[in-house]
Amino acid sequence: MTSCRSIRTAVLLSALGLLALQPVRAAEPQRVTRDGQLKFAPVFIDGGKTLVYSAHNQPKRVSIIRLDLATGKQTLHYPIGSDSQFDIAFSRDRKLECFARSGGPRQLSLVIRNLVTGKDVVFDPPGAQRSTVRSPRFTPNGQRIVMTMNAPGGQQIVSLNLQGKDVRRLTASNGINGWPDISPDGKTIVFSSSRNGALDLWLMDANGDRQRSLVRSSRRDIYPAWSPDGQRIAFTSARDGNQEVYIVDRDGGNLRRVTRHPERDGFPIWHPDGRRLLTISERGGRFDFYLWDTTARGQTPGTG
Amino acid sequence: MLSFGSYQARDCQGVSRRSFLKASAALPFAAGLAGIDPRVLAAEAPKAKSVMLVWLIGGPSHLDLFDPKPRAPDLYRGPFAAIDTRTPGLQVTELLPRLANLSNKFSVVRTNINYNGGHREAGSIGMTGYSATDGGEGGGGGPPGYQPHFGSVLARHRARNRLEADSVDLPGFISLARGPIGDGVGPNFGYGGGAWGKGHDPFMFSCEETGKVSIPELKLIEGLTKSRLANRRDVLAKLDVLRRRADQSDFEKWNAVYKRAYNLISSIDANRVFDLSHEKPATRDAYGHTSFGQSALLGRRLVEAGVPFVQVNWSQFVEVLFPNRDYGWDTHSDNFGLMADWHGPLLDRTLSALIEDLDQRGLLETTLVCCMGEFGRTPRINNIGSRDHWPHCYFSVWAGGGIEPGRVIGESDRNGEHPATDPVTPAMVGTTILELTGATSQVRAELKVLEDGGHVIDGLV
Repeated sequence: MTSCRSIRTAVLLSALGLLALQPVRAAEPQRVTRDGQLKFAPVFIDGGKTLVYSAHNQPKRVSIIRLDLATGKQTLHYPIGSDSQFDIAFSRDRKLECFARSGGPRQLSLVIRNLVTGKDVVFDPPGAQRSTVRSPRFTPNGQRIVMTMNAPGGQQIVSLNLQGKDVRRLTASNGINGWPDISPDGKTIVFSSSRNGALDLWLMDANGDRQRSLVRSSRRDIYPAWSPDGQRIAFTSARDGNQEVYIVDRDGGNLRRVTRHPERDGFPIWHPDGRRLLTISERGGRFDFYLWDTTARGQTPGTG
Repeated sequence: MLSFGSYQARDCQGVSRRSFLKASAALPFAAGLAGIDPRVLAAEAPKAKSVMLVWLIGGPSHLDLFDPKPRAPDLYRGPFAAIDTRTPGLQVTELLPRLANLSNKFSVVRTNINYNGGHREAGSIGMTGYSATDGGEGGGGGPPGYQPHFGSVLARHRARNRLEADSVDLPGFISLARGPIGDGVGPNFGYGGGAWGKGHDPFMFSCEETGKVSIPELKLIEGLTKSRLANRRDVLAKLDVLRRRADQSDFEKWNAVYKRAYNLISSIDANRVFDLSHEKPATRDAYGHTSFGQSALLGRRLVEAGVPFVQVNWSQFVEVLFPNRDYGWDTHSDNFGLMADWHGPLLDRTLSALIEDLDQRGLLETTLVCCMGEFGRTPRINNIGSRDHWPHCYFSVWAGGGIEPGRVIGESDRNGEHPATDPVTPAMVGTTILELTGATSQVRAELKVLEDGGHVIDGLV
């Protein structure tokens, strides 16, 4: 308990440097945190009032952190356990949560937590000694989960039901298939695949049909994220030599670059207002959240 | 107490026997610190005054970093693009853009081999140059009979043959890590003095991402603070208690650590070295605010202060999807996600910052930087879309201290599974490090280390 308290205290103290959110009026981003910790997999909840994300906030463990954007208060989303927890997702009705958990030394499991019943379903991929589960997402109707899972010779995108059963493989290509995100209408999944060499963005129907290329480059394109209106996709790309954040229309047109900095920008997600984009950007060797107004001037066309 | 150490090194051509003896006498435990023989002083300056061994514990994937195979089959290639560097014939993956632009400052060996696929065994072999057949781990040796680390050898040599630039305040071999260097099972046997005893172990410091430095081993005595450590009477009382309740090996280990720690805290100059707040913020930023980044910066300060051998260990802090384990680069699961998000870019940032910083300060010429792990990772992607251990072919990066930069040494085969040219053994790595730092074959023979099977890596110097 003492350890939990001290960690919570440390988390709260680290929030002292947090900036109060102000409206964005220019292309310059708004810095949201100042703790500098390695962080990833952010999700907006409560209509954009709260940010939940994964962070290397302890020397030997990853935790899920909850950040109240109005007060700057940071708390642990789950109590500290013996495992690492990360890559959290929420169902639209907020009755379900799911996340990846490292139960063993080389095993990643999916935990589906029902907040109504208080019960967990734990899904372990086959070949249980070593496994990979990343980037889980609830379908909009809350009936299934789409995620990345290990497969012989690569990684594939699968869907499964809330009981951790009925696993359906949505991709079956060579290489790495990962970072899936489901369109707001639930009909289309955007993901990254190295089936043609480099990691490019692809689209497929929710059942895995009609897999087609969205954008291609000679460098990695990863972490795609649908806009709330389903018309645009933000993603991370190293196509210009450095890792930056880009936006492309859902038909693959109108590619434009949002960030421009010699350090890394990545992990983009959309604010529920559909106008702003949150990134985790490395500045001065520290990793913090930044909010970008995608309607502001200053964006430049991206290279294909 | 301030009339020795770096003060002497700045103002004198060398350290005179009289002043050195005076300095030694001023240190309560100096005689037991590093086996310094005051009869032997400065020797001819070697090409490398200091070594920084950047140790990537866990086994970094050579195909995903310094030996990409864009034309290999899908099951080998991996998803990261190969990019050109400033060095003709050298491509690295897109995860290393800064190092690609700095390749004229370093050389890459692509044909390192090890003799064991286990972390502890391969790590021990990699840091000592001795394989199991030499009587080390698994070959009837093991602790305490294991051979000494390259750093222990150099520290012992320099204790007997000090260079003008060598610090008298600081230990000859410092390792920067959050804890023992090993895996989840235990520490590598080859992490330190081995058969020579704990007195030749590295002095270990932990450097956090904030720059806070601590000495983990001193936590053996609860409540011991820096100010109390300086109070010898208080410490002796504590030691008496510890002696009664601890087993003898623990006590002896702590006692050796205490002696050296006492020396350090007695020196204001030594203390200053560990205070990263003396660095410009831009410099600290350049290295990155991770434990690994700030440890590398601390390592540069230690080299600057005259420490002959510094080992900077990859931090536990960037690979903790699997908690409470020291896996480092041991990416059996989600290799490509971890490499893209953290391992590749953080290494790119910190190693390039280190090489540039040393170069800009004029230190690179006399500081040998060697960056490597205990092995590579399987070129063939495993059945969970990741990579496992691969000791048969991997990389090392070399810069400064007599190294010819801008070279690619050796070539791996089509899929990066085996050397296509002559392999580079751990003994050759150790021989190259020691030869460049002045521990010649004659010295090694006197110390009975790396006597057989090793030679300087062809084309690297």
